[in-house]
Amino acid sequence: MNDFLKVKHLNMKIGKRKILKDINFSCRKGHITGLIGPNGAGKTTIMKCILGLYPYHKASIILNGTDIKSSNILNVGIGALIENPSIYPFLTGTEHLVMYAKDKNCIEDIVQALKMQSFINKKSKDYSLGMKQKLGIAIALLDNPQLIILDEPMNGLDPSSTYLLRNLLLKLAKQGITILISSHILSELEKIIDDVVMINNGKVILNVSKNKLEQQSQSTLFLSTNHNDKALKVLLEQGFKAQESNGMIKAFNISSSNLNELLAVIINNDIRLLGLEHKENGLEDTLLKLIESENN
Amino acid sequence: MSSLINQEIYKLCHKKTVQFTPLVLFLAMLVVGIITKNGSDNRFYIEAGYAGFQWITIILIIECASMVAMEFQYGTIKHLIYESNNRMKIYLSKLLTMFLYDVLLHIFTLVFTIVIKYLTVGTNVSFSQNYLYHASLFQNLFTNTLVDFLGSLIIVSSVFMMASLMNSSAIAIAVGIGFIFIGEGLSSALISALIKKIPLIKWNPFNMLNIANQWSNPDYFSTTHLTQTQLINGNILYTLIFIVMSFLFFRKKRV
Repeated sequence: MNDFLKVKHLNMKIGKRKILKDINFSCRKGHITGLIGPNGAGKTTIMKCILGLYPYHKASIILNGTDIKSSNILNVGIGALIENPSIYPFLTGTEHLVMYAKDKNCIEDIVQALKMQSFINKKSKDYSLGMKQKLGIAIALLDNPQLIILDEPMNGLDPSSTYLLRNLLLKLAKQGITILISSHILSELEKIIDDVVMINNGKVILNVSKNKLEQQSQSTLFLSTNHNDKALKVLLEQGFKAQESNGMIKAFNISSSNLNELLAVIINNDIRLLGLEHKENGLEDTLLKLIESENN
Repeated sequence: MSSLINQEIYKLCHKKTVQFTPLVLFLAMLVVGIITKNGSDNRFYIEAGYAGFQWITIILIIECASMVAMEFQYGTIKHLIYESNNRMKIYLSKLLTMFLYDVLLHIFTLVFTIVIKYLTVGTNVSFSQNYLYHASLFQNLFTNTLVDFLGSLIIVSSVFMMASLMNSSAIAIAVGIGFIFIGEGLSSALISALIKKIPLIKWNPFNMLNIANQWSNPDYFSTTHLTQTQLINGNILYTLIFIVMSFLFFRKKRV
């Protein structure tokens, strides 16, 4: 449909170890897709395969309608930051951008967007980790790429730089640029992504839009009542998962479908509700649960 | 491809070692010129570019090794690969840039030799006087520059090959310099010990490094057992072999 990048049946072995097992997913044009999973799951390997850094067999990676394996010339510009930024210590930040950019006019805008003016003319050997990371991101954004692949771009960035990057990526996605991003900082990632691809042990374990994930996700409700003991008893009788914790009742797996039912149980038993707190299960909880169930 | 070559030239020109190379080369040659100016063999030193060709060899080894190995050391090879989508283009752009740099270094040596000759011996030794091969001293210097350039190609290609096998430019430089300094002696020892039993031993790659020595001193034939034409052909052949082998290693090298 609107798929800009399609990965089909991607398998990969290093030695005898199978790193990727039949990976299938796609990234829609103008969407930010989060590639998440534990360390060693295969996220970077997938990104390297898309970029042609690793050879792969019997798979197809289709970029803007063209199988990149059968074509030596990519029909779209790709910008990427994989593992560490591609930086030569003897060049300044500006020299890197001038060297890599085909369109030199975009350099100034990128430097300003990432607020790199204070260090861009210093030799990159003197950069901090965050500065190097910013330069790596700036290199990935050169020449208006149609696909941007970012592997852990928030590594080493301070909160204000992370905020800057988040807004920049959202702006780029609005302009129709497709972004594939991986990060272990899931709280940050879930603020920007449209779709989620979860990887564990070289397999895709979840591939959904974030909206769908949010609809499916269950949350925890913290209740404070005038009769906590009674409230806990009736909830357990009605089949809810609940426990008392720090003077409150903690009710688990609450979704939009059973929230009203829970409240009705409390009210119908003449229990007065004193307080209510709702905690949404985030991407992190979902990932942890899925990995746990996979490993079991 | 042209954008890759431009990137390689850009990187090379921004390295401090490359920026200072002409000055260091000039000073090193000037020292030889000053030391030898009162000697009887001025023409030999002029024809040999005041040992500039030896310095060029070391400079080429350092830059070739670092040009390939640094990409893997800094992880910058990833950008080059996804940008060009073709490892052969990356490899060829590096090789062409290094050949261009090699040409430039030989031009520097030729020009510096002319300048240093006038600074040290002035007009006492004339470029027009006869020297080897019934040719003028300048013709000898010019031909020696060309022969040394040809001989340097085997060094460029062999160091590329070693750097493609190793991730550290320091190791590639060390092996490259060892190859040059031990190679000639090793070849000479092998030939004198085995030439009667294995006549093909004279075609060993280390023997090809004697091409410039034999041009400056034809008596070297007793060491190499190869004519100048055979040495030229051998150099070209080994250069091509090393280029192909280094590309194969470069193509397979894990990113």
